[in-house]
Amino acid sequence: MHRLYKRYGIASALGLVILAVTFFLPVADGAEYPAKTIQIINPFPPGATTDLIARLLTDKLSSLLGQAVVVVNKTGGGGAVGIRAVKDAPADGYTVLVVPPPFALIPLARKGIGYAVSDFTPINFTGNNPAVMVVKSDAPWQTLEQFVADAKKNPGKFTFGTPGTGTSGHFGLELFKMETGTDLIHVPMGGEAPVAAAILGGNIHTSIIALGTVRAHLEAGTLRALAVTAKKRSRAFPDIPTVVEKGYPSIDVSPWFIFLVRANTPPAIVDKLAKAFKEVVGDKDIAAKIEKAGVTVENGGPDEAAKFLAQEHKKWSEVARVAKIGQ
Amino acid sequence: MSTLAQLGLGFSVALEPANLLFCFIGVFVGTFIGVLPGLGPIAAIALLLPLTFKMAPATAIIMLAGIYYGAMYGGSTTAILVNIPGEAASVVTCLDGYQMARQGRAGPALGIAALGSFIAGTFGVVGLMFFAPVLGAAALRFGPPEYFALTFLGLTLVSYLSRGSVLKALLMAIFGLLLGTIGMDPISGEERFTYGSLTLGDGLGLVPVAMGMFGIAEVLENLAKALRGEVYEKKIKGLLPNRKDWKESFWPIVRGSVVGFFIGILPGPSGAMSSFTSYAMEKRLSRHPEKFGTGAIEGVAGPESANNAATAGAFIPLLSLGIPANIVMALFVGALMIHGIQPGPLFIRNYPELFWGVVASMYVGNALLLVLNLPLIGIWVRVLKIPYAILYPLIFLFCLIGVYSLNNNVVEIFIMVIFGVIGLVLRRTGFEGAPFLLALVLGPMMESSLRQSLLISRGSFSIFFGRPVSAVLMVLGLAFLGTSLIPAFKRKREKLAAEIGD
Amino acid sequence: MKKSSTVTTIVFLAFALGAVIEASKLPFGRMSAPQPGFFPIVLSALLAIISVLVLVEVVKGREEASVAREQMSWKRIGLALGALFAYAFLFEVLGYLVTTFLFVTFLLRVVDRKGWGMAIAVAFSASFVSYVLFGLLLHTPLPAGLLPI
Repeated sequence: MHRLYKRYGIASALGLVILAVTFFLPVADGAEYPAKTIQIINPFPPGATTDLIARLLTDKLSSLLGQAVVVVNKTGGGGAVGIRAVKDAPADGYTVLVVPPPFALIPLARKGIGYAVSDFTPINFTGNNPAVMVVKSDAPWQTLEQFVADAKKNPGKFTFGTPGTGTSGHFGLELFKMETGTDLIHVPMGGEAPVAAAILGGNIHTSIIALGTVRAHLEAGTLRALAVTAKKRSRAFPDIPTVVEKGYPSIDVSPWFIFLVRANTPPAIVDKLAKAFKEVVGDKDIAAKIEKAGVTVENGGPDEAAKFLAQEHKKWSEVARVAKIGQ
Repeated sequence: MSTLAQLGLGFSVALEPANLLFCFIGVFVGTFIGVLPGLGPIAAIALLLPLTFKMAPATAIIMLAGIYYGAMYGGSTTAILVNIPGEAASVVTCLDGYQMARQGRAGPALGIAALGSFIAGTFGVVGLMFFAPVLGAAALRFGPPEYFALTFLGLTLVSYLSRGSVLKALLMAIFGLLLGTIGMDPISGEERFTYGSLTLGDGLGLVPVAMGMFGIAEVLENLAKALRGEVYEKKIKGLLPNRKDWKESFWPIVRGSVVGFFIGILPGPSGAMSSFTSYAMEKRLSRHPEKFGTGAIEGVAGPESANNAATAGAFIPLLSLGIPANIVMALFVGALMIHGIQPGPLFIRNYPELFWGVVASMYVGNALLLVLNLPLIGIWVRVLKIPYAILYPLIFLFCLIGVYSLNNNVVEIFIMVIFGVIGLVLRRTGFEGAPFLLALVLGPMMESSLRQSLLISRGSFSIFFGRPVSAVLMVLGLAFLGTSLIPAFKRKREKLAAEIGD
Repeated sequence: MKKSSTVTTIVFLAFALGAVIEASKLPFGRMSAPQPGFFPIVLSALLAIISVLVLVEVVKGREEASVAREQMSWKRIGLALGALFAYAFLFEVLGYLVTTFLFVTFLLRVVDRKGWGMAIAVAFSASFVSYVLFGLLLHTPLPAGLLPI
């Protein structure tokens, strides 16, 4: 009897300890986090705006969090490799993901890709990059109306360049076709720069392309913008009308940039990261640099980011369904 | 302002102490990165990019550019010493450079690579200075049909890349094109032949395959031959190229510089294409083509010059059009944008001190690279004195970590080792790796430009012959294909005739 | 040479035929809009044709021997390959430093019969120096594995 009690005693003591540990651990995690280097995984190669933004933030993030923050390009599978690496990493906040729109589009365009948008918790909606619809400066169309009218008269005659199938450019094209009732030939060019070169060289007719990519050509007059595909006019080019003004409000295809961690990361850590990101992106100097890269800073917290991602998901799912992308 | 006055302005920028310092740091880091296989200028520039956010724009670009062309200098080192092509552009350097090293002539090979790079780099900068705007506009004439024609022409050169049978070289090239279709279809995004592998989704990486087929396969073969210590000739025959080497290398360097510069202007895998083209050209023009592949110095001088001239050429679309020709150039766009500078058609006019400063810094940088690299040759040559039994585990290690550092993906280690085995079997049976690798480089570009052209022309092949540039390239390609195949058939006929005669 | 060359060419032919079958599972499209199968089918068919031509060339033995006949020690190749594959398998499990150390030691001690002292000394310095170079200086995220680094 005695012994039994003793055993119970040990067992319950052990139980208490375990309980205590499990109870305090997450809290302790939040307090002690970060205890080692934080990796920001960029699933695409360096050179794109996504990479630039991530690298702009690391310095200030490091000093704020007291640990090194490094950007790692884990490329492959059109972005899927890096995204899945973050999904498979421990939910401890040491692996952060930074993504542009393909993050939300890949699961729609390619079945069985091994992740869903819901596998991640957003921490910062950093900003978006307004896009414009452009034609070569010697093209006959001066306005969006002229192009749409001409395209309607000549279905399947004009070419529209995109960085590739399943990219935001491609979804933008399908959305454009749906909204305007035109039929354009889709020519995937393998990247934004080749699209710009092909329009400049007169090899394809038009495209919807990030403003940052073609800004210099709009200034030099070698390309002509028909419309900004965003809600608001661009501060740098106040003369270019928006799609909203032209009567196609839903053709909003501005690329965006969001930081996420995997779902089930302890809320305390998400909170800490979100606060740090908010402060860094909100820094006047850093925000100015991001704006110079052609990006409009939003600096939305986890809730705004989640809401925005949900909207995007709904919009593009509909486009994928109608345009039969990924089927 | 005359070009000379502008160049003066450029030098006044480039020779500012801070700029000079960062130019040196750039070329130093570049050389270092270039020597290490795998990790290339892209990774190094991405790593140092945040540093540049606080610099003046000219300083930033001067340093980053230094890394880029510095890496091209260093890229040939492992190719020559231990047959490891650290990047696509140095695959052809392996063919003759490594053979030279085995004969105790690593010094002259490295020396001619450095001097050729210097001459080509300088030539490239001169070209950049005088022709940037004109050539930028010319590059725009290259649409999908022209790219297809160019890749077709490039592929017809494969027969010059092997020492054995033309048919076998052709077979390897088609094999390379076919394996090049592995991964996401460039047009529709559909997965092809990936069998569920995410790594293959991006295609077979050129560097893992090249390092396997050259670096790993070579070591395996040496191990099997149980040569112990006899892989390299231990007696070092000269540290620098001698007078004869110079004479043989002069024209290859000149031709390589010109060809490399023009190919460099075009976006895509121009470094690799320029070195392959130069090699093929030298072999065709040579009076002793049979020496290629056994340690001919022209086979090092030409391609190494070509890929360095190509790096200068690659700046043209960026600086005159704002269109980055490759990922490195895209990183430069980022570095400039942070400072509120948008490269484009007005760039040279709006930012003369930046453009000319960078151009002048490239003269300075090339000179620094030469000063930096020549003394290193003595050290590299001494590496080969290490007994092979100790050296080869280190070569393996170099390949393994180099390939991992590319994408931090362990699957690529497997790919490299598997291609090491394939490479060993193929070379033992007379099939050579170079045509295969050229095709692997060109394949994706060939397919996407072909399909883009057909989309644009709505299925008509006349698009390739209706446009002047592509028509010329296509006709040239067909002519090359004819002349390289006809001898094979002719020999067959003669042989047949002889047999009948018997 | 001739025999092994023939075998290799037959393997190429078999590969090409397999590729034709695999590629024909992909949509071919039409000329105005070629689909993913278009290029691979054309290529694999071409590969098959050229394989046959090479086979004829090889069997007729007209080709000059470009590879010298030599005594090959397959045992060493086998051991080295085993080590390479083991490295790839263990890399992420044991971590960079441990795997590299074991790999170099194995090659020196087992494949080349060097003394233990020599093997360990070279292996230790090789793994340490390369770790400092790639891991610390160049920020390659090398797997830590067993070691708490």
